[in-house]
Amino acid sequence: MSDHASHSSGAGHVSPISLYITIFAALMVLTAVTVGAAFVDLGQFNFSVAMLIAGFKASLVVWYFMHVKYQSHLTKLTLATGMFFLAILLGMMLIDYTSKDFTAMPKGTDPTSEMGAPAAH
Amino acid sequence: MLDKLKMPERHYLNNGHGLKSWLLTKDHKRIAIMYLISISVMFLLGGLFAMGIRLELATPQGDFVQADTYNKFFTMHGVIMVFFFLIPSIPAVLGNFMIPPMIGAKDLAFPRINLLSLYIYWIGGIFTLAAMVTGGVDTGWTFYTPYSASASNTHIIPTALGIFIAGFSSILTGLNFIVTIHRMRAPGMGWFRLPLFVWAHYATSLVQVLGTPVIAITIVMLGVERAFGFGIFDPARGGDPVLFQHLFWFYSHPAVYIMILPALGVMSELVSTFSKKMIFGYSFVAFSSLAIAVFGFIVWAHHMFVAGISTYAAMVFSFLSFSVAIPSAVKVFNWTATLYKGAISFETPMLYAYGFMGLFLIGGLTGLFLATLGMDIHLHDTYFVVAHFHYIMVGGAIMGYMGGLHYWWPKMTGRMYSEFFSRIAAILVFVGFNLTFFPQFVVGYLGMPRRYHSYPDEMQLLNVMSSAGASVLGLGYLLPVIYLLWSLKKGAVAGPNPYGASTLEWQTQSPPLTENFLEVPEVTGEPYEYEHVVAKESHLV
Amino acid sequence: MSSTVANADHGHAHAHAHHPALQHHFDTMAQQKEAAVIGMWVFLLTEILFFGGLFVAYMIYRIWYFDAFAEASRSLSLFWGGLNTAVLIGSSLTMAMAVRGAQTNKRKATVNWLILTMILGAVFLGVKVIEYADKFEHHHVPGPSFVWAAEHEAPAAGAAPAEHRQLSLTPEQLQQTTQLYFSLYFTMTGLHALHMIIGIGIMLVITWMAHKGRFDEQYFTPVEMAGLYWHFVDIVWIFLFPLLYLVERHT
Repeated sequence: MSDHASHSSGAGHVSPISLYITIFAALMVLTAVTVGAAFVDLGQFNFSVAMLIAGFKASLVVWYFMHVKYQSHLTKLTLATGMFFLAILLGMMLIDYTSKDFTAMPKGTDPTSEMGAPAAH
Repeated sequence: MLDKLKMPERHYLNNGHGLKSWLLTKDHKRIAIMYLISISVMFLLGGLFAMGIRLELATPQGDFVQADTYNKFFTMHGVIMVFFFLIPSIPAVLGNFMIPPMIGAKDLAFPRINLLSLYIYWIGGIFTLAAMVTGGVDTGWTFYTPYSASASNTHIIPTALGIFIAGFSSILTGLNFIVTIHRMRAPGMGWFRLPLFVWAHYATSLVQVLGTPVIAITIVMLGVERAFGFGIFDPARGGDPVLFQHLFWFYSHPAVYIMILPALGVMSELVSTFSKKMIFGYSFVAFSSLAIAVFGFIVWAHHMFVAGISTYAAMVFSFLSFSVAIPSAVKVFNWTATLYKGAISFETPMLYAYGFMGLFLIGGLTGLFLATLGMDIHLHDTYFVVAHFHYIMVGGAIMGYMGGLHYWWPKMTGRMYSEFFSRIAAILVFVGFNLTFFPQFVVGYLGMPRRYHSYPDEMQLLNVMSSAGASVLGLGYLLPVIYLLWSLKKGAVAGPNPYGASTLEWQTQSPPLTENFLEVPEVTGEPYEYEHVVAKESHLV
Repeated sequence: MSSTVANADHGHAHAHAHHPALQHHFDTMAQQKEAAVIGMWVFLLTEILFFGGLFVAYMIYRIWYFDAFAEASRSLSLFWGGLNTAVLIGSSLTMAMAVRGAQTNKRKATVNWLILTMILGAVFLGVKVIEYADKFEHHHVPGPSFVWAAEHEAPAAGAAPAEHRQLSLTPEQLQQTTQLYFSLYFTMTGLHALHMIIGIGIMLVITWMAHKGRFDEQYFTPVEMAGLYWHFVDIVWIFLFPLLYLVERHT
């Protein structure tokens, strides 16, 4: 909290340029992998693979480019809290949507329905 | 003794004069005062719409206004009261003013963002009011699709835009409080020495920051559907209107905790000060605020039991809704235990606190009925629901606000108000409130639907009682405007601690200095210790 | 609580000279910087939840109408999407370098890296204009003018055979449900682009401040804040790219 030191703590951790280049290269490679994996038929795992890779890429950006690795516990806790509540949003929504029958639109739906027209505002 | 006290020479109100010194201030206390004025204006507007509703409902026929106009009345009443009065009220006025001195800080972490939050609130209000005067909105404050997305031809986009903008104000306030409470506490002010008011606002801020963005994006989706003909909720294109409800209530349920948590925080302060006793079970009360905040995020679909969610989901959300009542009950039990063998007194703030305890209890218990699936099928969209949430929001949140306003008025202004008239007003509010809203439980149970401007003849007596009660309630809210303003010039000088309270904000002059403290305080004792407090100076009439 | 108002050694007379950027409700630059970082992260949380709502809608409709999503996704240009991903990741690198320049008090380097970041951001936006124009041309903007032709051109990159696997949606249903995809496509990428425009605007201001020598190794918080914001915008795209462009590319 209040620290009466007469000099500031300075710039914080300065990452070496080589680290940034490495992370950049990793991100590019992973992007290529994502695209490549999309052309392989993995059935329902295509989605999971894509999300896992994206999640890993995001983690690299957060941990190194955004310096979270070198930040306080509070910063890390803040980030974790955000992830937790995003998970609640997505997960609890699924409680409803995966537990009820969904009937696809009737095949004879009229594509010129007036519900598709924009309203006055 | 009275004339021994003098107003301090230098304080935040006379530190700089003129419009610029207020509109460009960085002082959290001045910002709080400007919020106070703004939300009071909004409260008056929302109240006028309530008057329109109750006037119509005094007779069974829809004879006061057209049905469409009536729809606009209850919509605007809800929009203004929820987004422009209740959500900002305690945090933006009392939280803004009291949190820095309570933790021993000179200001919030981000004073300019605090000012920005006020400007954003004004801008949001202007959009919504402009939409209102040019015709208003008739969808209900819940804006359900597909009516709001395509069929309604009222000013939905400007109203929704105003709410969207005001949401940022709420987010920024929450952000400011979180960082402040984490990083601006004085030496020795550990988490478990914080006043419970601060804990409550920390929990509220979490909800503001995590929940508000979801209604923001929902409004964006509604906006693009209306403006561009996109089809996110359009059933004809395979869209799901219930998805709108899910996204809407994901925020709007936690929003009700934004509205009540700060009031629960005020209550802890009042109960402690006016029984001269440490709050029973401090840690339980502190953690219960956090529990309410977190649990509040996982119960939203109890607003949708009859909307078309699966039975499985309904059971899950019903069960979770029961459990969210537990931390609230913990608080009520702990306040009661605090009062036991305390040195209880009946000053006006405490009268509001007593009222709160009874009315919040009723509101909370009736919530359990609504969380019960079988009962909700009958009670959903009836006046039972309306009565339930008004017991919490008015009998709870607004009474908490009024109690807090009266409690901290001497600190904010340096003046005492008339204890005589304030007690009368508090009693009028309590009586008027019950007369207004208790009959609504009954008519709701009898089947009277909400959002209708007419009803069966046999329900007229109860509705007339309700409308009559509303007049008494209105009078009870009008009186404080008069005697509080009067006190600014003619009230007795308050001194630093007229109520003999123990928290840090009362250890400074009233009104406080701009920088709150001349020297950084160092906290050594536990919260709510009364032995060392300067003896209460009695200003009671 | 019993509190003694102690004589802290922090009265009005500042015994030590403090940094001109220190705001006086803070005690030290470290406290001020830490508060800013936490504050920025709390703001980014709100952004996560903000985009999160769109991801919810995407999730539901992808489950319900997978074939519509797959078909519509195939109509997107993998070339432009992949290029934009590379450009944005590159701009994250240049942004990190800009913050590093500020940390090490290298004024010119900071300014140059910031300018490079803005250029890459502008390239991204330029590509989006190309993509959007293409959508307008093919009547893929949801609304009354939307047309989903039963046979549509294969995407530029990656050969797609004329006959895909058996779909579970009829052409009439596709005409409707692909609009859900495109509504989400435009809302998500549009919102993302708006954030990028704001980010470039913020960077213009920061670049100007850096140019004027307002930062040193003790105070470069605005650069760091802009960096956090920009990286976040990059992360959103890291998710948008596979979700929008790579739904089903292997048939």
